[in-house]
Amino acid sequence: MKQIEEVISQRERQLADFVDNAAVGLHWVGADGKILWANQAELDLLGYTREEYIGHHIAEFHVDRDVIDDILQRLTAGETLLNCEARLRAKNGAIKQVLINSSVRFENDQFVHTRCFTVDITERKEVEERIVLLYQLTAALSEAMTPQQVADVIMEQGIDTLGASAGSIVVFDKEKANLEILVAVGYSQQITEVWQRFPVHSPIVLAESVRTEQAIWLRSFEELRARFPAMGPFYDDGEYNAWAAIPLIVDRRVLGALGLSFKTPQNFDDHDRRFMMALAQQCAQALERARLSDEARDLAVLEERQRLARDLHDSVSQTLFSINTLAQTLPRMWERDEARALTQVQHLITITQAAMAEMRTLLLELRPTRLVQASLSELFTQLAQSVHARSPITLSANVELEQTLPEDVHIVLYRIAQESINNMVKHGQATEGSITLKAENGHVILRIHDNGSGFDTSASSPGLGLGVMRERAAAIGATLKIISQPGTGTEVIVKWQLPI
Amino acid sequence: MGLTLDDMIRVVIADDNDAVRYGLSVVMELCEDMELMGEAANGKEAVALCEQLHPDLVLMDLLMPKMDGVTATQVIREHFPDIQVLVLTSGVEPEMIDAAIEAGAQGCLEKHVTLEELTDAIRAAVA
Repeated sequence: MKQIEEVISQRERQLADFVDNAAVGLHWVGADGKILWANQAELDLLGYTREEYIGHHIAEFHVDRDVIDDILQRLTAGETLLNCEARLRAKNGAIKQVLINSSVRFENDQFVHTRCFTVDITERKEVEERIVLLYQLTAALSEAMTPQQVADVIMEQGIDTLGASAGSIVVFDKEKANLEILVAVGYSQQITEVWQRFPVHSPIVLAESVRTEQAIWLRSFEELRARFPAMGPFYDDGEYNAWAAIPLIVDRRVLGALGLSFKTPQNFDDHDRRFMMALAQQCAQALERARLSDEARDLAVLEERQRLARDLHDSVSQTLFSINTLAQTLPRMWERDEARALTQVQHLITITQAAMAEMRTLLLELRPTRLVQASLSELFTQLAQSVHARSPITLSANVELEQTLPEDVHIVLYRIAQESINNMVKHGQATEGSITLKAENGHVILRIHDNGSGFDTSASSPGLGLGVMRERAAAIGATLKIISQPGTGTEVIVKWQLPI
Repeated sequence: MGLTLDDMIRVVIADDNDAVRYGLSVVMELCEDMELMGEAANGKEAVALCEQLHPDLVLMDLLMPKMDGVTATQVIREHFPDIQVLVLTSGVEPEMIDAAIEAGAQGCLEKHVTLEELTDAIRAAVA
């Protein structure tokens, strides 16, 4: 008998040891919701003493009241809960993400207590959340076009997830000697004013991170004061107690740094560090993309200016030269042959008007809204007039169209007419030409015709821009046909169906 | 007038702009010591006219279709060294001006010259 008792007692001790010292949190909750018993792992998980935990209602330790109510209700109904997610509040205020597995021990249909296993998944959840955030960030950054937008996205999404209370992004200025704030969130006005712009050799954490191309982790105010004494006086009010600075690097070039400040001291464990580095990398790449797209825009503007300069050279400046020459020769011509002088005056008037038409055409390129406002009749007349400046072609423009065309159609028809006329003047050796635009059988038809040398439409014709014209026509759903043979002149026909 | 046909400066104009050619043709007409032999609208035509007419001088634009003024200058100076080339340009293309001088052009005039400067330069080029 005694032996049996001893065996039982030994088994009890073994079992008690097993549950008390298990690595998983275990507790019992009674029918009234109060905690009856908990093991050491559970107490360690939340940081309470036995007295602070046992005897209290379980709901006191849950962050979400509805979640624990639901758990208790289901357990009471006899359900076994598997991997039920919940959030518990630790003694130090930290929130623990846990998985709960629980069932109830009933005796004679009476609820005795729960058998509850609590697994801490806080870290796993954090990693999951951060991965989700990085995805969201990538999506948001792909729409950020300017460095400012990039910085705003990083700050908006990064600070919260990291539990930081302030953050900033600094980048090099144009001279590469100073760093300046692109964005700063959460700092006092004094701090942002002092650090608005600072030399890269400044003895402060962001500058050092840029200089050394290394991340810097300062886990407490003491660490900050020890490594960066100059910064101490700005932060001795206790507002911040941990700092992180990560360089922004793309293709081995440092663009600046990302800085974060925390209210409470931080450990900066491996997860934190890797997340912040990933954030900085995303930030650096997005900033670089924004910079490149800025450059592309500048380049496009520059190319546009060069094109205008070329056009001015090709057209107006040549015509002005001619006007100037004719005007200078006029007195002598008058003395010699009055009739010829009169013809010359007539010619002067024609090319002066043509020069003005050329000028108006060029100005349209500078003010695209004007291109849309002007009627095609005005525009084609202007094109026809401007031709007199550079070639002997007599070009007529005839527009019979009552409908107002959609903006894109209007522009495409103008461009095709413009390009066709350029070809006519440059390559066609024509003496006469016409532009006509009219509505016919539910279609708008543009015809540009000349009596020049023509070309073989089956052979490739580089330099005529026919490909571009076809693309323009296709863009508005129009057809473009070119009828030409060597020696027979050229006709370009654009046909666009009117909406019914 | 004491000028004989031999004293006349025989000129070909090469410019793709019709109005420019017209203006220059009037100048030639008014200058009693100059005679306009022909007009070319591109470098190729200029070379052909040189071969055909053997002028004393070509007034050469630089930016022209089919063959530009620099290439035309090179061909003309190589095949007809007696023919002088005077570049007349609106000065947008400094590299082309250098290249034309390199190719054997006598000089370069910008298109904002006065009538006197233009005719003096033509006379100096063939002197």
